[in-house]
Amino acid sequence: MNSILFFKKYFDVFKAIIVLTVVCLVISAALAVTNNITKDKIAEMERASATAAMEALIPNGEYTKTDLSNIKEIENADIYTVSKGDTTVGYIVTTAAKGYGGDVKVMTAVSSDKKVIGVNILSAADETPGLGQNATKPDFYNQFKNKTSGVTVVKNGAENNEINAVTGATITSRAVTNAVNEALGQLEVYLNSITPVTPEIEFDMEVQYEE
Amino acid sequence: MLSNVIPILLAGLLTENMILSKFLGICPFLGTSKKIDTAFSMSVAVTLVMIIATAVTYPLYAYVLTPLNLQYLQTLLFILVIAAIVQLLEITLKKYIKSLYNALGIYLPLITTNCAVLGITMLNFTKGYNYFESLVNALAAGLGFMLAMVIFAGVRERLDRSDIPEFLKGLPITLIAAALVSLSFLGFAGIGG
Amino acid sequence: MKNNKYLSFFTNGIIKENPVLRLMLGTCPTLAVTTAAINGIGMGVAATLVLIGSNLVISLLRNIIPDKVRIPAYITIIAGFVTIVQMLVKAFLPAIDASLGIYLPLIVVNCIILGRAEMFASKNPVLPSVLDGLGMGIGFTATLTLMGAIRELIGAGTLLGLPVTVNFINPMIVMLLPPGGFFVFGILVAVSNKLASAKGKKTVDCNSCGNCPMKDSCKIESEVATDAQ
Repeated sequence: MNSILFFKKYFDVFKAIIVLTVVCLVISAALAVTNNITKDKIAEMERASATAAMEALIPNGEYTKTDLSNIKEIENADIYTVSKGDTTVGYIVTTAAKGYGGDVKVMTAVSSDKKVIGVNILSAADETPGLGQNATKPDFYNQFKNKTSGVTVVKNGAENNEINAVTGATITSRAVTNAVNEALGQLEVYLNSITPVTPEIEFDMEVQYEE
Repeated sequence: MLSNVIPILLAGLLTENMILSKFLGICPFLGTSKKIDTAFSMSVAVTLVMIIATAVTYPLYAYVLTPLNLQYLQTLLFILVIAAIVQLLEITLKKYIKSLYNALGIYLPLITTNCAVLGITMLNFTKGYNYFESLVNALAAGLGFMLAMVIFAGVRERLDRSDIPEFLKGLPITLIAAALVSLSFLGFAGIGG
Repeated sequence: MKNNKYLSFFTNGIIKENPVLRLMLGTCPTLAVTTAAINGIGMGVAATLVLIGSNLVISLLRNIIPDKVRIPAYITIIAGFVTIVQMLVKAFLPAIDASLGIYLPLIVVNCIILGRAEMFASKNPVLPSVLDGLGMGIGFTATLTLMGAIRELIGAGTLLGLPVTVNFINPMIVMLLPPGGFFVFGILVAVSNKLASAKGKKTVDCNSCGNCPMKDSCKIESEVATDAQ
């Protein structure tokens, strides 16, 4: 008898809890199903767009992602080795730098002699439309061709290792440049790690001591 | 640590202001900015909920959803957590801190559907902040919200006494005034960048 | 006669009760994503899909969900549909996903969707609810596209990415920036008010709380809190 009263009193509460739980479970299940259907497609789209971006920089190569887990100095960067047949023709590095509204993701193609082959802006969606987003136009990013480590930004009249900023978007221009410099720096670290520095320098120092 | 905090604070207050540059929380911005004190109370409530929501959602996402590979439940989980926080906060304030409840209580239920709160909990991850930076970001966003609300309430109190063309009366002139306030905030571009 | 009634459920949201310009709902995405017409279409279509889905399910469950927990239940259902739409957009239209960014998951707090759930779907049968969702969605999409087109045309001199005036008029970039959003929206509301008052209808006022879906639940929720004491 007591339990019936108890049940009557709390029936509304039980009903609310049960309905809410069932709704949550059904929705979660629906999400899990959709996720299962779409996740391969999403991964495939991401891979396809990454390959297309790399194709645009160094066409017809074979792109191998390098394992950077042993090199702790390299953070937030991916390095791909591009080879044609047996020869390595260059490297592609993806880096990000803080822009005006968020991260600007940049893909930099570098030749074996450490010169920039080309730059591809992967995402600048957080930059201001009409200003910062102009950095995604070839007029801007083609300036990086043949530049070497330590590129700097000027408002106009760029020479040597300088590039002209996008009008009205110095911060975005600087972000892209930082990302490119970062890419060159990280690649240097990676190349040094696979080919240890030859002991010649130490040898020189010994000679100096003897004098 | 300080070198991380200052840019986040400046961004939240000025350059990436929730309302004036990200357009999050427009409903309370237009709805409760008629008087400065209402605007202030609303922003305090929003800031409070933003910080608590960040404090709860960040570990849930980083240490529960990510290891289980359930990131797709983010939206669902976050909005339910925010709704629960708002409800619990309201009940707690009502029971224990009556004076604060009287000041903020009526604004709390409106915050569940405030996109600024859900927005900030998600932006913490798209920006790659750690736990501490996320909390600072929530505080900065809340203070930015407050700054915009209070400044705009001041503008609107004057607007009420101005001679306005008939067809612009009401909402249109309010939006145009918001455009001018937002334009002035553009001048901060580059600070802390 | 009956057909007319169904037609009016559908057309209601497009002009007479246009969610953005007449009900003042969903102002955040209206201002945020309309830097280009294509973004307006993307956001509009995504929200329409969510709106149809949530209206359908909420209308089906309208007699099952207890009144006290209806807001959390609605939010759960809406969040589910938002996430499904988000995953589909990511899989098939990644460019739209990139340009809408965080505003895509934020559809979940778009007042139009909770608003229609509260005001319409929870009180009406399935077919009218779906038609209402479709109509409201089209009204939302049309307004966003119009606003995106105006901002894109003046701010970038293009329309849907194709050059229109950019080659002979220097675009006013400020239209793409946040102030431009507030300004264009202000002017659109002024025009819509003018048209409404010419027809003898009420103009929308500043008090956006008036149409907020949480307006009623504000009171109800404090009553729940009183009960708990």
